[in-house]
Amino acid sequence: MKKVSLKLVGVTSKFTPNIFVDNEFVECKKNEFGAYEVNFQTEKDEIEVAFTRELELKSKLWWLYAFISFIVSIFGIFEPLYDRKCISVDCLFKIKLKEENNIKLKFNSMTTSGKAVEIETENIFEEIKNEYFIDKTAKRRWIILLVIKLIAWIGIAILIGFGISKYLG
Amino acid sequence: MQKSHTTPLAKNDLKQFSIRIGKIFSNISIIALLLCFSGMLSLVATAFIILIGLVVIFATVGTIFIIIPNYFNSLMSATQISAEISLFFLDNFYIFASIALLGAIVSLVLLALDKHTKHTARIVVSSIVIIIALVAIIVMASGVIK
Repeated sequence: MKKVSLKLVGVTSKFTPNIFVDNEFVECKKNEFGAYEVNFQTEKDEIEVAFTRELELKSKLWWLYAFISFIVSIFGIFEPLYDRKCISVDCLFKIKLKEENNIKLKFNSMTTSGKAVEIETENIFEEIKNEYFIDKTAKRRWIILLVIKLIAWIGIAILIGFGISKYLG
Repeated sequence: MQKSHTTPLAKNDLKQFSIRIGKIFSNISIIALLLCFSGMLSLVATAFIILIGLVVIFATVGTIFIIIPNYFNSLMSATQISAEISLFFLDNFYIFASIALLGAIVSLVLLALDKHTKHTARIVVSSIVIIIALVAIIVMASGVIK
């Protein structure tokens, strides 16, 4: 069995990527130094490692979650903002394995120019995809949500205005 | 259908949603706790009305003055009713304290369940809100403050 240790550096609470090894989701754990780590064993000679970012507005039921959040947060007043930039990550690497494999992945800041991840390893690897990109679907949904919220807020503000006016006589 | 490396995880969707709800309840509990003590300050009540009035002006981009012509005069007379507002907050002390307590508990549970990211700051704030709200309810219920 070959031991693989993936160490993720530069990951923040705002951006913790999903890790997939050979299309299987792998849960990562935070170590005492704040870096995320994944350790596993495999008999394969080569693995495919991919990273994605789970944007809230990319889920299937995004409209339902957004609606419930809007109502529960008293018409969005107490709601945390959705990620405005909608930057996602698309990374795919093929890594040839030895008996012991220590792979350090350093995540760069989220900008659409340049590489998303820098790999530090003694293994031979092939970089297939390595970029941050603006998720157009999420961005479109963010705009739709903003427009709907603005309309709702204007309507509510007019109603409150009427209420205050009637109350004050 | 073969699962690709970009397939969204339904479990994560729900987790993100529960974190969002946790944060919302955390925000609500903080505001509810502030409202608990707002009744004691009539100044806060006045500021509260003026703030809402200004938010309405901004939100309607000034069209509120067309819809309600004497809106500004009505808003300025708000100071006269600040006493009534103070009374409202004092009368509803237990409601606001309960909202703060429940909100903080729900927030604490939802955020503590997230094993992926630590929400230390919010968990600490929610714990403080629970303690303050509990103490305030006990003090009010014991009749020390009337």
